[in-house]
Amino acid sequence: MAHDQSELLQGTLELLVLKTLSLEPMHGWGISQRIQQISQGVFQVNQGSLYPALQRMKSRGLLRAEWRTTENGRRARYYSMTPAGARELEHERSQWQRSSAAVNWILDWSGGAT
Amino acid sequence: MRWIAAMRERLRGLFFREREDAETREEMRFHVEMETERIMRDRGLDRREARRLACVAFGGVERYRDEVRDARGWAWVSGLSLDFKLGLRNLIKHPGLAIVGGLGMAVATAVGAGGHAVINSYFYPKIPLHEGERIVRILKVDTRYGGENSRLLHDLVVWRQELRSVVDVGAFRSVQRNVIAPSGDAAPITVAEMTASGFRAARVPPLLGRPLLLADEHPDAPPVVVIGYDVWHSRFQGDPSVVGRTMRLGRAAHTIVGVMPEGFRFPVSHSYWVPLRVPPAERVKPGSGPSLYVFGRLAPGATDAAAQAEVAVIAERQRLAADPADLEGGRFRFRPLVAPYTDVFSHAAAENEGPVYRLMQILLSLLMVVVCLNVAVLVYARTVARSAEIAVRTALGATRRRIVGQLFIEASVLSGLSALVGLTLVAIGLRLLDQGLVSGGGSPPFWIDSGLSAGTVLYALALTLLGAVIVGVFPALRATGTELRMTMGSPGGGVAQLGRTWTFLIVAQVAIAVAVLPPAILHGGDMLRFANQELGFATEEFLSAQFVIDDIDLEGNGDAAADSARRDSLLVTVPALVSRLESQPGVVGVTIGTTVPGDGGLARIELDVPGRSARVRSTNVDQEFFNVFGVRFLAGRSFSPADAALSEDRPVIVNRSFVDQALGGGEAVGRRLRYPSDADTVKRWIEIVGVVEDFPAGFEDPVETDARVYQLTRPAERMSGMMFVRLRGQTPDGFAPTLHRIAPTVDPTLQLKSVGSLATIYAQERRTSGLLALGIAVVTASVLLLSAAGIHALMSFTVNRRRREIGIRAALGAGSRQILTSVLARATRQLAVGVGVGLVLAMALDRISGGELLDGKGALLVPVVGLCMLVVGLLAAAGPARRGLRVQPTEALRAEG
Repeated sequence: MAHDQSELLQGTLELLVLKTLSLEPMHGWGISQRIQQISQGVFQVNQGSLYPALQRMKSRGLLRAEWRTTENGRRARYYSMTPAGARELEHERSQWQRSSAAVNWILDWSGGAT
Repeated sequence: MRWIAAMRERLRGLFFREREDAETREEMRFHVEMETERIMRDRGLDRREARRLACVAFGGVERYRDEVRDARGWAWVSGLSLDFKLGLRNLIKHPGLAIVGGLGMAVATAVGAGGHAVINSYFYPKIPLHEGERIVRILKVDTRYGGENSRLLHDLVVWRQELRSVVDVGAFRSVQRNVIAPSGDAAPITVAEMTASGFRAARVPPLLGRPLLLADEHPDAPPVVVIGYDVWHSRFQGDPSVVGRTMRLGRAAHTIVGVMPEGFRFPVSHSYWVPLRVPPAERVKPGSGPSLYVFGRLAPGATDAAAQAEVAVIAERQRLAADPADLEGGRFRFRPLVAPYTDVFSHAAAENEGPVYRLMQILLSLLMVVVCLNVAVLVYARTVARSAEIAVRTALGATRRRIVGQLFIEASVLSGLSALVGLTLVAIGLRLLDQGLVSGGGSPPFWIDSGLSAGTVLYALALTLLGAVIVGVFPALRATGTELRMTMGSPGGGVAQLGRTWTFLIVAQVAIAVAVLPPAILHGGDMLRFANQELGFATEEFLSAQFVIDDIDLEGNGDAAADSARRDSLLVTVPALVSRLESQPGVVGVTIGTTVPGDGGLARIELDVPGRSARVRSTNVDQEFFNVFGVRFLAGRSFSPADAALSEDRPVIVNRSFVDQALGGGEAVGRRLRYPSDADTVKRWIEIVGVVEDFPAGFEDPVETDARVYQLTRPAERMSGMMFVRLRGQTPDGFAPTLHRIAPTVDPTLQLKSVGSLATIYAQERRTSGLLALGIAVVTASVLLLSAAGIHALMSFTVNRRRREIGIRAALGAGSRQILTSVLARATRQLAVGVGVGLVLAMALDRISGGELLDGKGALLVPVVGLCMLVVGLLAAAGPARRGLRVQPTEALRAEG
């Protein structure tokens, strides 16, 4: 079972956060839920590790944060993507597609040889 | 702007750390609560169990909070304040190190930054005028004997006509004048006699009226004056209609034609400007006229080098066109030179001293390195003693970089505090220098800012940083090196190898001390002796006064007949004053000279013995001088009325030091000498007719020569000089009012300055020497103290490192003497090597300086200093060595086991 829940690759977390926030602003817990949902539990985020990543992205100007009230009246910090963050997402996405395509190609090619 | 957002984020993390931390806590709490509720909802667990699971899923809250803090960036900054506090606490905990190291570094900063301030403001200043750096001085240096030729009236005329790369060529000189109020009161002032081009070169328009014009320079033009802003306010109460009024400067009433704006003091520190009368070119002979400073502004696009090349070409053309007889006269041994304008004050160009000052500055700053290396040895000792603390921090995850950073901050606390003390010393020193200039009758040039400049503070900061790096980083790198960390685990922690570096440092500093201390002691001693010398005559019986008669500019305006007629009318002034004073009760005698006894202009003379020349002080005295001061004759005779009657080539009298230094003993009377650099043409030989005892008897010149040549002058020839009145039965201060009362009745334009006891004048000179001696003593003491402290630290290590060995030896029955010898052997070896290298270095430096550095006393002084360093070093080593004796065998072995 542990193999199914692979460790979140370093750097992939940021890509997932950006993708999540590209839809709407969200608080930390919401982001972690969304990532688990859309990855169908494949990426098991150690929930606390999300926050240093959010702070790093904020320090790099990719995200901005503001305190808002949630639907059930609680105070929460909402993160949204800055234009720089949108550019970063595009860049990361194309990088990822290129490298994953390359890896797939290698794997397919190796399979054909044996 | 992404980087702005990033910067804002970092600054928030830095300055609102508490708030940011609280927000992170709240955010994480929210997360855990939301997760708890989700688990309760999805899995139907109770709140307690759900919360436990939520916390597990979140991971370590503390750990992630720290990571968030680190992710904000600049987290290290907040650690700085802690390191600073730790540094301060360490200084208090180790007062010995703080005082010794701090004092040394403060003195080194003061010397380095003070040297930078003085050298830069006096020799490399920025001229605060529009494109001030393009104003240049043009001078002529003597290629054969050194020094300058200042009689440049002819050159001024030539350069004005021919130079293309330099425009607004002009000249000035400073003259003394009495400003005479309508009431008849006279006050001496300094006036710039300057060509009209000076105002163009400075590019400063007048506030009122006009500047000097070319027409004003004509010898027959009516006398005019331009005044400074301060004068306008102090003498004319800022009268807006001051232009057109007259003021009496010396003998003539001058019409005020302009007022210059506030702060304008070109050419040096002037507030009155009168035209320099330049005679028509055909009446100006080469090498004639008054002493002048020539200046100009580089033409647009022209460089220093172009100007230099052009003046050289002009000089060469003159030489080729000259009469062969002229060439023999030596006139063309003067080489024209284009120098920065500030050279009119520093006179560095003629001696090519510019690079010397830069070198001096580097050497002064090197003192900081030497001092800091010593302090570094001490700090290393302390750092290694703290190895347990370093080990704990390393175990807790501190990186080597973090620990080195912390030790650097601690060192910068020490060097920062020292810099504060050092800069305070510099500020006080600069003020004293400024006061010294003002009390000496001068005022600093307009480009000198006597306060602490931003440049000086920056320089001191750079030195502080350098100090902190040497004192903090080097020892820290060594103390956190692998070698130490290996040993750290042992129970006898704090024991470390002193590597070759430190051994080398000890040897180097002993060597430097042995090389540097002898000249410092020698010169400091000279200063001290000078400060405390007994002059050998009753200075308190003498009243001295400086006198100047207006129109000292009579010489050399070209019109010899007119000059001579005007001069004749003044011939009576000084003799009349002398005879009036002689007739006063209580006056034993009156004599005239150009300088205070012991002083005199430096000159080079040639003797009629082939190949013999010497540097001497030369002074003019009247016939009565030796009699009034009671100077004893060793050979020959005094000046006679027949000598005084000669119009030129009068005989001279020399002193004992002259005979010793210039002639190497032997017979002086009857020999002849001449001044080769006196003028363009070499003068005729002058005969020595007498030899006097060195006077003042106890006077030794700490810097220059004691050899003196006395030339004969007559009171009637002197337009300026010093007057000495010997009194009996009354004090100089009591007689001063009488002098002030009599002088104006003889001539209202006679200016008297510095009227007072001769004893006071010498006391002032001594005070300066005393201060210099004190400065040298402080620096010397710092070097010695630091050397001793460094050796002490080294020995403490050696003993600590060898505790086990000493214990075993003691257990095996070694006597205390054997143990002591073995402990001291290493220190002695290092000291001996250091002293040896120092001896060689001292002798080499002395040889390079041509023997001037040690003044022939090196053979005695250097070994004595070497011996002293050896003794100081051994004494410093003795304490730790004795501690070694007290090592108990059982204790040492147990500790190491």
